[in-house]
Amino acid sequence: MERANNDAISDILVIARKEGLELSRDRRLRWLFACLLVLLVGALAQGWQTNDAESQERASAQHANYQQWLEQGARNPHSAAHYGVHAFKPINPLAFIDPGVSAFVGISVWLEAHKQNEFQFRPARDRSSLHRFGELTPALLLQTLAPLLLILVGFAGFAGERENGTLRQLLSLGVSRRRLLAGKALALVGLMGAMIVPITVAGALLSIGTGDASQRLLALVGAYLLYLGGFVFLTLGVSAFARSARQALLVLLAFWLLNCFVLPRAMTDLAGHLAPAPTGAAFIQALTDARRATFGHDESHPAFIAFREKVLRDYGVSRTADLPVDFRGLALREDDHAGYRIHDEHFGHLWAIYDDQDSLRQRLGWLFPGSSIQAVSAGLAGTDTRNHVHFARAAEAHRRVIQETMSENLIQHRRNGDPDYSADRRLWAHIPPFAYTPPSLDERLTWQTASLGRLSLWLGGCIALSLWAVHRLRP
Amino acid sequence: MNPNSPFLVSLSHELRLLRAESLSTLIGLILAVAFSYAAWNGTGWAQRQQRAVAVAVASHDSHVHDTLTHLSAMEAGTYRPPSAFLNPANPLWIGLRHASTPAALPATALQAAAVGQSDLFPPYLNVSADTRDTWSLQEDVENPSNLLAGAFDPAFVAVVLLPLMLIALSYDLLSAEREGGTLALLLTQPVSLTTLLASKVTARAVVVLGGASLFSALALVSADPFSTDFLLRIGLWTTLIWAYGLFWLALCAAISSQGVSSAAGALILCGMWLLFQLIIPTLTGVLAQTVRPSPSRASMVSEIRTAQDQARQRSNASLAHYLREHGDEHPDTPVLHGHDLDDARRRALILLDSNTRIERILDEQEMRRQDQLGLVAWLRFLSPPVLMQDALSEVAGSGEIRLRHFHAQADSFGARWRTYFLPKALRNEALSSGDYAHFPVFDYQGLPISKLIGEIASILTGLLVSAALLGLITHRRLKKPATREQLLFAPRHLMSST
Repeated sequence: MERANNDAISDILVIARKEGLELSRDRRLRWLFACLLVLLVGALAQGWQTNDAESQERASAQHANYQQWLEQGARNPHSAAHYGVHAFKPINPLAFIDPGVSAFVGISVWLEAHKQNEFQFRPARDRSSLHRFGELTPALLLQTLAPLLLILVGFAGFAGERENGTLRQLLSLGVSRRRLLAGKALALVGLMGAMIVPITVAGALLSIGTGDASQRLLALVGAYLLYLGGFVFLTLGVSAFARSARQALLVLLAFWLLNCFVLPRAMTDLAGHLAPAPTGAAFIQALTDARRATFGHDESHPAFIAFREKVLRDYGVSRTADLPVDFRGLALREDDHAGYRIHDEHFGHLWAIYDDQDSLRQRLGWLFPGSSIQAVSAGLAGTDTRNHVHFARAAEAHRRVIQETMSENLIQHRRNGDPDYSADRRLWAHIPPFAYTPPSLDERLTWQTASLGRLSLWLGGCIALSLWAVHRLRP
Repeated sequence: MNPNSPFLVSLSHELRLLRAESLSTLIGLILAVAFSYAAWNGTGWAQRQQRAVAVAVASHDSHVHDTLTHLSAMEAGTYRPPSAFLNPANPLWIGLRHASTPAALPATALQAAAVGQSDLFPPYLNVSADTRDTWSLQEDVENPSNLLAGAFDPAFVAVVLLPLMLIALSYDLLSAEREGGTLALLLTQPVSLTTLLASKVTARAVVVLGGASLFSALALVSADPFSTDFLLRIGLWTTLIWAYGLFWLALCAAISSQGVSSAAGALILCGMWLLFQLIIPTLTGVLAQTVRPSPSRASMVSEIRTAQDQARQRSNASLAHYLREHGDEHPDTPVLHGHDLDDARRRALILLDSNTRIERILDEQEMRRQDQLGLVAWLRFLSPPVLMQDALSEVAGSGEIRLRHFHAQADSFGARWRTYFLPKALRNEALSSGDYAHFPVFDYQGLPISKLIGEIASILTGLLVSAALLGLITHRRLKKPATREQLLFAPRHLMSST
């Protein structure tokens, strides 16, 4: 039994070595591979450099903004709440591998009184239409060019041997078809490894000491192995099926085109039709309508009057002037709490639609894995929509800390109704600088369970297809 | 032209062959389906944009109507505003919030053709008397993943898929004849290689580009197909499709004239497609971002805040100065008193003061942005797909030039709006019901046709010159006797194993 196993392994290795030798002798392939490697290294270097510069810029803006908050001078705490702070989205250390939606979400949000703002300044707005053709990043190269390279290298795997007449010879020697497949696959996996290794090494070196980046990087590499592994077996399977190398190439190129260029857009539009999100204007309108139920600064609002009556009843007094605490502070807090519920509901609903759209887009991810690898890659790099929403929630939580602290100060310290009351730096310093805790690795992996499942299904399906194809392989 | 000329004979022969080939039927079908689906998406997007404008306008109208109702009641003595903020005669808050008005960009007759940059720049800006940064940088609410993926719109079909259809029919222009053994036979006829190739290219242009123009025009036909706007834009659209298609066909012809096998031709052309669609755009993107980096919005936020803080710190002095200068002026109908009046004047002065600085900051940022775009306007000539994408976006009305034109108008409208309300707030002049009818109105002036045509003409020139150069190179090569020999006797299975 053991000997049989050893034989099998040695057969596979011999085939893989022969395939590898042929690949390494192919001048065109060497060129293609060298180009891809140069692009990859360039993309890594450029991405890292840009991220580093941008990170520093945002960190220094965040610091400057906090200083401005501390040094705003003496003023009414509610004015300070209106002044607010800006929360800048930090750049994830792995964003240089996959920037995901980073260019299409705002870089900062203004945390001010009464409302939860949308993020502002999408970097894509400041760039030319070139940006819409894609960004030169390791993710783009691994998702688009690497499968193409595998196809170009592997499409003749079986069909070419058949056309050259060597397949008949090979099979007559008694080589098992499965071992043949395994050997050829091993050679392609070696090539795939040669593309992934530089990213892994560079990523590991550049993300040392940045939280769980190295674990995420490993998971990311695992996902790319599933994605590209599927292409290895698909290519060999189609090559075994096809009547000619030319037909195999045509089918594989059509598949690649659908996977990388056509379906991402076609499915996005379909998802938009199936799970329509409100327009910006409709979203704001709905939020404004809902907020009409709250009183804001309108003291003639029925909700304000009702609240005032309730407070007077609770404290057993007949005039707000007789209250032991500042009524305005109480009213602001009450209004804020009503606002939180409304914002949670509306933003929650909007983000749920985005989630629906994103999962609809991936429905065919087991068959055309481009959408799944995009989701996993950006998700683990911390640059997808869910990660953005996680940040948006954290920023909103910080806004609420500011609102609560300011209103609480009015309630506790302002002499009821004093129009000249002001607080100073001591109160402003009660608000800590905004610090964001990103989601844990577990949380991020949980978000990607479905996509990872689809990628596994894709690889499994491709392996099964290639096994079936070699089983019915005719010399 | 003589109907028996070798070119026409060869052309009609080619057309007959193409008609008989199932691949051309398949390509026609793919184009028809792709353009229909794309136009459905594009129309959906255009309608969504206009729905957003309609919601914003309706919301503004109803808000102004409510405010005006309160004002009429106030003038009749039956309404007492609860605060200066809710006072419908207070020019400060009417100009800043309650009457802030949507300046909208109308749809063109071919809006569905390309989403372009319109998914990043909303179709309207809610202009108010506030500092320019608060409204001119407004962004729409949109799923970022959708923005990243881009739309499957007619421009995408034209820019990305159309070249592939052309390549599928033209990768083996001469090699198929040679590999089939018919090239030598053909050349015994009184027809030159150039004429033969030209007739093949023309036949494919007629079939694929004719089909693409027809299907896209049918899919995009608007409610008013005889309007000047539609006719002009669909005319430009069709011309661009032909120029772009000719570039790709010229490229196929040039590769064919190199005597490569069909398989090698297909691979080289797919490589070219990838080079122009992906490699050059992403590399030039990196170059542009490195040489002329886009403005830093993070530092802009800090600068704007500093401008606001400084204006606030100066506000006591500004108010004192204003009162010294204008202290004696008393409007016939004052609106605010005491603390409210001081507060309103201080706020108006802070706005005017900080806006001057903020506009400078924004202009500097825009200048840096334009620096990068200016560089890209040259770099894009390295990639026909980028040229085509930009041109189609402009033709649809969702390109950078039209959006910039709209923003410039919105900016000057914002200045008019501010100048209408803030001086009134400083003078403490109450707004009357009659004043509401005289609020500044945004009247969008369309992009001058000459500007649109100028942009498209330069892009068309780029595409046609590239096609002509490729054609010339091919012609010169085919004229050489050595090429003729090489084409006839090139190894048939070159690269056939790949």
